[in-house]
Amino acid sequence: MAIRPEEITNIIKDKIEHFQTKADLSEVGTVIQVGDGIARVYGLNQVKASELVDFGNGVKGMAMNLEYDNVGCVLMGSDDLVHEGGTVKRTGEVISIPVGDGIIGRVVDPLGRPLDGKGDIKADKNMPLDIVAPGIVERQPVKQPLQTGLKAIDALVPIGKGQRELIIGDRQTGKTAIAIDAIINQKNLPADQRCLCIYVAVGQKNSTVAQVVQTLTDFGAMEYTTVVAATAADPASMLYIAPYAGCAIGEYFMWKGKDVLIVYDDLSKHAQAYRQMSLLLRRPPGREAYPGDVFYLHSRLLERACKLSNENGGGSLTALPIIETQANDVSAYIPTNVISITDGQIYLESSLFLSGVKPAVNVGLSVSRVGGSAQRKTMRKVAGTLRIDMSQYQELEGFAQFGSELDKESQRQIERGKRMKELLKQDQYKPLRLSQEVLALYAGVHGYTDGIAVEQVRAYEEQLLAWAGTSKKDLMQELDAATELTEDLAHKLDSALDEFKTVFNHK
Amino acid sequence: MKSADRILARRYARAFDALSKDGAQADARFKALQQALQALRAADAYMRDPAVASADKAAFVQQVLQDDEAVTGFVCVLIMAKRYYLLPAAAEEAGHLLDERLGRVRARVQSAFELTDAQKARVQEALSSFSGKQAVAQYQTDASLLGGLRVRMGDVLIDGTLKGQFEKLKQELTK
Ligand SMILES: Nc1ncnc2c1ncn2[C@@H]1O[C@H](COP(=O)(O)OP(=O)(O)O)[C@@H](O)[C@H]1O
Ligand SMILES: [Mg+2]
Repeated sequence: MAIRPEEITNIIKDKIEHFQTKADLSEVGTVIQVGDGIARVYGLNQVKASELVDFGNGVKGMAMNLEYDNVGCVLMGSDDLVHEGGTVKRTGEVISIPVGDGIIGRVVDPLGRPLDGKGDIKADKNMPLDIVAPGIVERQPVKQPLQTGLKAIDALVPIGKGQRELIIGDRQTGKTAIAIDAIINQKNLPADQRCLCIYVAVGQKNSTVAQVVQTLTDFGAMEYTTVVAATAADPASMLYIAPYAGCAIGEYFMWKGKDVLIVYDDLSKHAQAYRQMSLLLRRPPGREAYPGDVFYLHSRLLERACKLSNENGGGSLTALPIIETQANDVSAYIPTNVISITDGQIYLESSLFLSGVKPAVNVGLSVSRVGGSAQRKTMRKVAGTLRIDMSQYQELEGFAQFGSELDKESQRQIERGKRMKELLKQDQYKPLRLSQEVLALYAGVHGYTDGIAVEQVRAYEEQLLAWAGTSKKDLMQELDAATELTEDLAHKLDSALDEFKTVFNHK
Repeated sequence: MKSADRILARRYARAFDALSKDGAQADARFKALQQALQALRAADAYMRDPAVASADKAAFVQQVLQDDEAVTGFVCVLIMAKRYYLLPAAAEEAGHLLDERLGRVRARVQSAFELTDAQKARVQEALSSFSGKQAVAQYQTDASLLGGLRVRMGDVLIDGTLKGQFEKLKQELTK
């Protein structure tokens, strides 16, 4: 783009002409102490809780503690630029983030400043970060499925649009992977079912966030995704506001009638950042040194996920918060809090992950409390049988380990279970279409894999899906669109699977 | 100063203020307190010496300050509580309390040049009507302001200086 000097001159001339030369009236206070990202301010008597204050030099802060003789503020920038005795101004505003269609595809910090070097973001309006969640009458029940493209999740812990489903597990168990796959999978969906996605990175390494952005770009998923990043190098205050910023962006699109998927990766670090701030502000510590209101910290965030009523445009905001546990301890403070706030959890286990079950979903402990009613009927039909197969298998697995004699039926169930377990495995970055998921699981629950060696099951699945994709296009399309697994459709599936028997190539 | 100290200083100041029956007495006492502060400044090293017993310091203060009993008592109480270091802050707080009592408000007026008496009177009047209280202005000059006035009155900052306007224009243009 060519820049013409006279144009710039005109803009500046215009700005100078319209410049207001009125005296500036502001309410101010004086910094009496600063350090560790916290400033104590004397004065500012009229300041409101959570109000944005200006420390000058481009550093903003938020009034957190309104005390008898001073105001405790958290700084949104470097505390090197704030000095004792410096002047602090009220702004009369709460923290907000500029939003607009232009924010899609961008990487921003929690104040909406671009981090991707792609220039300014054109904004329609400013959304305050902390909004009261929509009330009961403004909502409707969750009833549309949100496809993650992961068999284990879409079948056994189905997620509905507007739901809050926790992803919980130790480090390196594939939590982020599940969320990223769910985002990538949106590309597979028809435009009317596709969600806009927001990935909020809290307290992660810069390199990890860069990697996620790269992955999303490589899979063409940045077209409909916004990344909000507050990394480990940022002040705790930025980590604290990051999820609210992401949520505000999501709400903007939700109120425009869009479906939005938001991932908070992760809320453990969010709680830790809040704990750091609270302790430095000298708020009393409670269990695990977290402040007393840490439950509200997450409940007010996750409550904002919802499915709006049709009068309100019918948009939705689906939240996938992530919690990292220590040594599988789900009874620690933050995990129990978030488990009780969400509508279910996907429980990932490192022992499963290490034994090759990926995604490492513990099927027995994972639940979805509202997604079941939103599940597509075709999927629900196969999932119902699958669930029974899996639970029978888990029950019998224990006996089998003792080497005890089992009757024929039990042996059959164990063999079936082993194959189903294989079928639920899935590689990273390979989310499947609904039709593919249903076909693979249908083959399993209807015994088509029973005659195949356990180690061959994944090869069977891979070949089956490839074959169906080329030779059975119509059937797959029908399956994708079908709302019910009719007898006719089941019949077609059966005959296709019979046909495939001759095609399958044992390795 | 730690914020806890500030709270403490305010508490002592409040007690000192409560000793006076009316505005006139409070005013006189405050003046005496300021004189005492002035007088004790010369003996600062002695007063803050931890090796000197509190009782000795109190006796010394009683000798030096003889005019107002309340002031002497106030300083001695601080000494006996080992909080003599709070005295300047407490005196400052006492000043605020006195202003409140008398319906006064202090203002710091900065300008690039020395104001004429007529201008000062106008500023005083404008500030009084703005705050609804009697404004007591203290004037300073600061050539870097270039022109106009900057007033700090309690929590309010009114910036009408050329420097401030340029600053704002700069922000506007670099946005
Ligand atoms: N389904 C999968 N198949 C193969 N590898 C996986 C799968 N899911 C995750 N991984 C790998 O496991 C590692 C940890 O995954 P990640 O999602 O970063 O874990 P977490 O977020 O729980 O720390 C990554 O290297 C990732 O590539
Ligand atoms: Mg992760």
